[in-house]
Amino acid sequence: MSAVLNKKYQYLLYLPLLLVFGFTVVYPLIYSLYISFFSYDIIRPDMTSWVGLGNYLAALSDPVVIRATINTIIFILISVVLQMAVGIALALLVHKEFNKTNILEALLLFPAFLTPIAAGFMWRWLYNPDFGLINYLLRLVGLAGLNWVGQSSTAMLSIIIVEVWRLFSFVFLLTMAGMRALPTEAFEAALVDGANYWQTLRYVTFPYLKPVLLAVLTFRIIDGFKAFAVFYAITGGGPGISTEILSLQIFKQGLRYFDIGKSAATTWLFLILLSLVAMVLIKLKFKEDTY
Amino acid sequence: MKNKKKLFHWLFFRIIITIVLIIILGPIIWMGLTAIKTESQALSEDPIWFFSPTFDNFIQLWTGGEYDQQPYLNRFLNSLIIASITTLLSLCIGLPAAYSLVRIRSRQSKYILSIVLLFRMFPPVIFVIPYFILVSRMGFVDTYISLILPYTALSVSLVVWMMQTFINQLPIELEEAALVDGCTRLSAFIRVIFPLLRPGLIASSIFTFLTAWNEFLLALALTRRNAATLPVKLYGFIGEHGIDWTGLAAGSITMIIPIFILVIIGGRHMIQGLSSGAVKG
Repeated sequence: MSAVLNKKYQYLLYLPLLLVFGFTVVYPLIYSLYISFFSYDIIRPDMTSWVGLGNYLAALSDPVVIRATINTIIFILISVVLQMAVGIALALLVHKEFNKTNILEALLLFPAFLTPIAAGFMWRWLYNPDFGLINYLLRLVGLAGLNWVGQSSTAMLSIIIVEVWRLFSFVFLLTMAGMRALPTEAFEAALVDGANYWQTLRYVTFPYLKPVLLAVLTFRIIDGFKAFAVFYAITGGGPGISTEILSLQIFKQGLRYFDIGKSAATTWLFLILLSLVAMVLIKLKFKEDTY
Repeated sequence: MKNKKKLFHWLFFRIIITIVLIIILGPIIWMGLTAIKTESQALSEDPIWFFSPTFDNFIQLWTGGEYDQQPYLNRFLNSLIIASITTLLSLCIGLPAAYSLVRIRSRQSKYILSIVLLFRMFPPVIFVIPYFILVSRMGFVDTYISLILPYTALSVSLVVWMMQTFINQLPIELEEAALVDGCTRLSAFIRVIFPLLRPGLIASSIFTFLTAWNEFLLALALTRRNAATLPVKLYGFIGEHGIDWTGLAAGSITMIIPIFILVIIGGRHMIQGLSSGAVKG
């Protein structure tokens, strides 16, 4: 019997993929590593000169970059924890009744696929200190309105709320999918053994859900590093540098101040941070798999 | 007793879902209301709930003032063209790749699949500087191709990863039986496998289209006057004298209507695609 794929030509089927990756992913990344060691002059590329680790030292000694690094970590940590908490809690609350409600699922998914820049502006409008709906609602119940995104104490919190609003439904829907796949026998056994709701949750539901939750957690954290447009639409990094994150910094250094070399160096520092986090997550998953 | 408990559950579920839907849809509906208000109605300290709607903002948007350097219609077409070509290209590259990588089952193909997963994790911002310089050097700034290629690179890994989970669910005996029945390899794929992959194809097309439709960062970096897309146009509503809120609202609502339609049509497949990756991967 002949093979499903022709041995001679099977490589041709994924060759275009490798070519696209080579030209648009690998080459640009190597190129950015290369220019991170140069002082790159955007107007006169021929004046480019080797500076060694100079760009990295400049980035690491820049207080704005340091603040942006801390903010990136804080932002991802808090927004992912809240997304997971809200998503899982909601799944636990409604999973018994929630079935075959496709339109509802689609509606929940809608914010996640909303143009981030549009979602950002929607919330900036809600947060508006004078005409915003949120301050109006606060005034209705007798509270003082806040200058949500206009003061550094609440700006980051305001953006985190937007991200949780946008993305918790991912956690919710995937947790629901995981719950549908749970073996019913385990729950029956728990019932027979007289386990109460919390014991069942702790000793039956969560252990079974753990691989799914870990996968969701990994994707939420990795996606957190992709945040840009919502920040750009709502605060652009301000007030001051209170919501400055690394992706904003890379963009601003490169395309606003045209410090290409430093921006490339910051890109690689960002990639190193991302790889460290990814390595921890993979290790967690590996530990899970060996059980 | 049991009925009472059932009623309570029924009620509780509906209350929770209603609250969630209000939170999820509220900001979008509020933007929609702003889009059909006049500027003075929108900029009122106490929100106006009842008013006679005006469509001036939308008319203004589509016909544009004569001073509008960046007509919305043009940006809309740019976004549509770029997102459509990106989708087509990603599928043409991603589907054969996913099919062959799953069916070959060699160590090398597993290796390539894990690279695909790795590339899916890359945030677009790491490409801003190299793309900007390379695209400027090649003289491609402000052209469709300068966005289509990066967008294809960003979404092709998603297509491959999603399609490989769908193809993995199909037993290879399907094609083998078709070959025995006298199909060629190509017709075995087109007539037997392709129809079964429909949910996966719908899901990954929508994901790819929306990734390109929504992308802001690279569009901001790589386009100027000609090839700019809708997200860049939306940012343009921030003027020197503040934000044109009603115009921005109309622009945002227009741009998210296609998203809404796609999510409603393909939501089921998209959730299936997302969860088969996460639950089994």
